[in-house]
Amino acid sequence: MEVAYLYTKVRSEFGKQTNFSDQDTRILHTIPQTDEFEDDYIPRNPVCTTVDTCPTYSEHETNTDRLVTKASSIRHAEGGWPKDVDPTEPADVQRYRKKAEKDDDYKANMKALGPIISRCMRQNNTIDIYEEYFAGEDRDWSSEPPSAKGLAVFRDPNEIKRTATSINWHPEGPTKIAVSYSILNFQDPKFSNARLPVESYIWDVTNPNTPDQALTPPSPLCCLRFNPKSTDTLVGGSYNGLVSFYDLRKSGAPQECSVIEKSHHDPVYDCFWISSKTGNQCASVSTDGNMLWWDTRRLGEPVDALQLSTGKDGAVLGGSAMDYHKEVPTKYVVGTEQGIVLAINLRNRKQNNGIAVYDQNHGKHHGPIYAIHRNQTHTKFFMTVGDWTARVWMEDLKTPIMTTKYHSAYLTSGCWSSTRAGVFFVTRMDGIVDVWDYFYRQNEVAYTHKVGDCALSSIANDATTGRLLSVGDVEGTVALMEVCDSLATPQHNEKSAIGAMLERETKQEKNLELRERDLRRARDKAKGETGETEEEKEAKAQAMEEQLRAVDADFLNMIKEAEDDEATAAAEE
Amino acid sequence: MSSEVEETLKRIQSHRGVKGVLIVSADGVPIRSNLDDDETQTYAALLSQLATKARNVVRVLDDQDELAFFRIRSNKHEIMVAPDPEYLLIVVQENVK
Repeated sequence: MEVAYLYTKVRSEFGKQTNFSDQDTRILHTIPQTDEFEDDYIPRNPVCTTVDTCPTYSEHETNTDRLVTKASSIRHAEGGWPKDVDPTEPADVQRYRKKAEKDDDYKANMKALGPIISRCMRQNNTIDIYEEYFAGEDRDWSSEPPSAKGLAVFRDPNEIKRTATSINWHPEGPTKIAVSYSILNFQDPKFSNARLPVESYIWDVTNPNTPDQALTPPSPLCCLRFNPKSTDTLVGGSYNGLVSFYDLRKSGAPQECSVIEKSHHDPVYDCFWISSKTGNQCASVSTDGNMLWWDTRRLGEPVDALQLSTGKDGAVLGGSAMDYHKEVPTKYVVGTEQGIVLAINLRNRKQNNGIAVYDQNHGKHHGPIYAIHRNQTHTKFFMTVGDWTARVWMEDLKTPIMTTKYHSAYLTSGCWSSTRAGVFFVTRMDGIVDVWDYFYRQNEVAYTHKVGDCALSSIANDATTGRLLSVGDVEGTVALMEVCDSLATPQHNEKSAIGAMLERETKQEKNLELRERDLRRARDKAKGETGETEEEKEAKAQAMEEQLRAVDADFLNMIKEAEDDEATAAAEE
Repeated sequence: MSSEVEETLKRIQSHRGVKGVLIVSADGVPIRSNLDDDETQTYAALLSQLATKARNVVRVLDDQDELAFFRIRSNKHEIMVAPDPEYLLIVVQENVK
């Protein structure tokens, strides 16, 4: 049986298109049935087969393209005028209005509309139909478990990822945030990139897609703050130590900038607008150990300068965090790179330049202080965040009155809640925000919220509602979160309870300090008593020494005599 | 007849807390107002659009119906708008404290 078919094609037909046509059925070859191979057939035993009662599914994943929307608007102010009337011409407008008022239709309509409005107005004046019936009713949120939800994410639009080093809320409401971006790592490989972006951004919280406004400082900003008195102006401190002033009404370029020779020599870690008549004054700290005061109208040189040191000849400390509260306008609290807290009171400049140094032993942080923040309701108390703990201090005491337990990751920033006296937030290196609620318990974190995988770097709570929390991370992403009512609404008598708790801790710390002083005094006294016996001891030791010297001399004499004897004996022989 | 209109307006203005009274044509042209020019323009432009929209809403919901009145309550003011096919009467009243 050979099935072969010789197929020939003429060269000229190569590449010609094929023409198909109908044809009758033709049998080319048939294979008849046969028993020939029947003996070779072996039934397979056992036969394996699988069945499945479950329907089979396959999984497939796709991600839709990110749709970037842009909000834009047009303003239509003057319009609807007939073609022949020019609305900018007062005479025309006047004429048109006169004509309109003469219209019968107009008169009739107005007469009809008048009573409708009157009725509503009388109603408004008589009863308040929008009256809040249950005003003053405190809702108890405490039974509700604390929670938080993410609302939006603001990403640094630049390719090179920089840390969101500070976040500042618009002072007049949770509408905008100012975020500064820079790289604080020492000799980060990104620095070798010549095109390291310098921009920092103002974000509108309702529009996470594009920044509301970009600021272009000479060097990346490490801190940025709105002026509470004139909210269109900001002050920022740069990585190279410059302080610059911005006016959002004009442009994103600095309106005024300090000069290198008279600025900080290290990154400006924090800057604050301070209370002044003109509202133009601000203060800045840096790790070069200086604290400088500026007038934003003339940033040519600082108004005032102060070196942060522990004493006259003491060590210079690098300021890494600062807080200024308008209710305590003369006192600044500064956290330093060395973990020591300083309070600066300019009214008291005679004593060590007005610097009060807090505990330098057990009370200080084991590393730099990343955040320092006064309690918003009890301004005498403030919190510092450094190493693995957050500590609460009282202005007049050298040691912290409360310390959180050691967290399982480094803390990177923190702030008090602006509405609840006993609540504060801390951010951690492992991307978690921990919420402490001292009104609920002091030994454990009240609520933990995972924001992302990378380390967090900054946090801010909006000042008006206290419900919104913005958290920045090292990748330049700022997450906007909303905390639940129980974490934002002040609880019944919380203010007084927290006040009492802080007072109690202060008293305890004071007592401990007093006891330590007593103990030290007692020890000193005991030392004084043992001092007398020491004299005796000394006398004894002297006697002993003399005796030893005598014995030594005797021994040497004896040896000498013996030698002499030997010598004489030898001579005699 | 014109004096009757005047009278009506005067009566409206005499009520407590009235900040402004405007008459605006359906096209958004302010005809009468006792507010300053800028505010008049803004109110006229915004509310005539809102009135058109509100009228459409009512019409779509029930084509036999007609918008009769609407008020906007804000924290500071209440804006009352009495619409008519050709004119709008707008009154801005301050909230009673």
